[in-house]
Amino acid sequence: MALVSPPVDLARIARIRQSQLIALNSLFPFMAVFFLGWAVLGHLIPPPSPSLGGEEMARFLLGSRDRLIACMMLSMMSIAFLMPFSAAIIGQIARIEAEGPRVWTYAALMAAAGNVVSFTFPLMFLGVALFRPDRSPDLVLLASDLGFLPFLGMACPYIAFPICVAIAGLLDTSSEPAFPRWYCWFSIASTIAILPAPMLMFFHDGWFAWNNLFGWWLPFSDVFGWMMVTWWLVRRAINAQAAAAKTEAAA
Amino acid sequence: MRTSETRHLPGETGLWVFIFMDLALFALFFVLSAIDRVHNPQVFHEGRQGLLVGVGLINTLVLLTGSWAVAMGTRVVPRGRFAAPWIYGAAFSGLVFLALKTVEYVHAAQAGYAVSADVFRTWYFFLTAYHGFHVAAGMLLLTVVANHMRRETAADERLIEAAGCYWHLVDLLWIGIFAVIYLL
Repeated sequence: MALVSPPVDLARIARIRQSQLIALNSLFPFMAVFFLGWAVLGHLIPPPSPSLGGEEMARFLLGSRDRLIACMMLSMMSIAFLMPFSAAIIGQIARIEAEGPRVWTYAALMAAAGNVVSFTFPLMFLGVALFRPDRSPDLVLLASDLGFLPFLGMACPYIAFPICVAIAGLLDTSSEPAFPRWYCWFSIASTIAILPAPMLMFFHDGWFAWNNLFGWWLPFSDVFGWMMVTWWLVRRAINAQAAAAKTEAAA
Repeated sequence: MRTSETRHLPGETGLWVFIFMDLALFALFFVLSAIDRVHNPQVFHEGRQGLLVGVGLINTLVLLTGSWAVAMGTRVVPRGRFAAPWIYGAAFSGLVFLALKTVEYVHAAQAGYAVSADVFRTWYFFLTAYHGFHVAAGMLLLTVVANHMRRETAADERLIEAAGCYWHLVDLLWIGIFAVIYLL
């Protein structure tokens, strides 16, 4: 039995690593499908101006109804890929908190679940705006406001997620921490950069409007940047974890 | 082992990633508010007339005093319970700052000013509230650090320096806001 167990352990380690990497790499289908829906089909980068009136918004949305419905469908489907990506990050937090009550793991889990909701519901409301082409323009405007306003304005669950990662990382006192400390500070800074986004609720135009710098471009690039850096570091952490497990199994 | 001759980055390297990102963000705010000022000079001129510049000036002195207290706290060796009162003092300066800021907001609300009233009010409320969030976070951090120092005879040097650097950042940002919003 003793002669057989090391290869079995190595296979298990490889399987664990592979499983985590599949989850982590789901970031790319998420980005690809979302981009295909939101940008290529929807032409919604940036979204239409919040200063549009009911007639104008109805013309914008219903003038390309089929294309925009397909955009909403793809954008919603892309969110399915966000769940395993989040889980791969949470897996690392759980590893940091292996010996404790895992409070930041659970907090991150709730934030990730909240993210899914805060992404999905605005898209569903935009779907409602598109559903009946004979609807009054004022009602189309109401439904589109319900979609575009929370899409970036509802930053609450999003900001909780990198903060959980940062706190868990900063409290990691192991000899080989899962995340470098600069990344934890980077996560806090990128969260702070998102905070102006909910200001979009005040404005129909200007820097803070939902189609301008603080309502769209800064949060959009900030989230994209944070996800890419996180992907790279979690991948490194998974590989380091597998290498350490192999060394331990060989010893 | 660190000797007195060895130069080192205060706090920790990662913290400076945060500090530079935050400074870059505020630099962006200042540039954009300057662009708005160029396009709306009259709005900015009239908006500034309604501000309590005296309260802003007192707040500047309050934060500078807080920064001085933090500097004193980090100079006490060993950085244990004898340094803690300085750090509590710095946290208290944040409380005074926020109390005076509330007085300003009440004054602005009574004068009928709103966030979306004009471009000057937008920048005034946004920059001061965003900075106020930094102050509140800094107070929390300083209190945690002071509690830690009170319990330890030789507290975590890195943590104390990190809190001190953050508080100096808060002070620096306020000086920028005070100049851009209240004085220029």
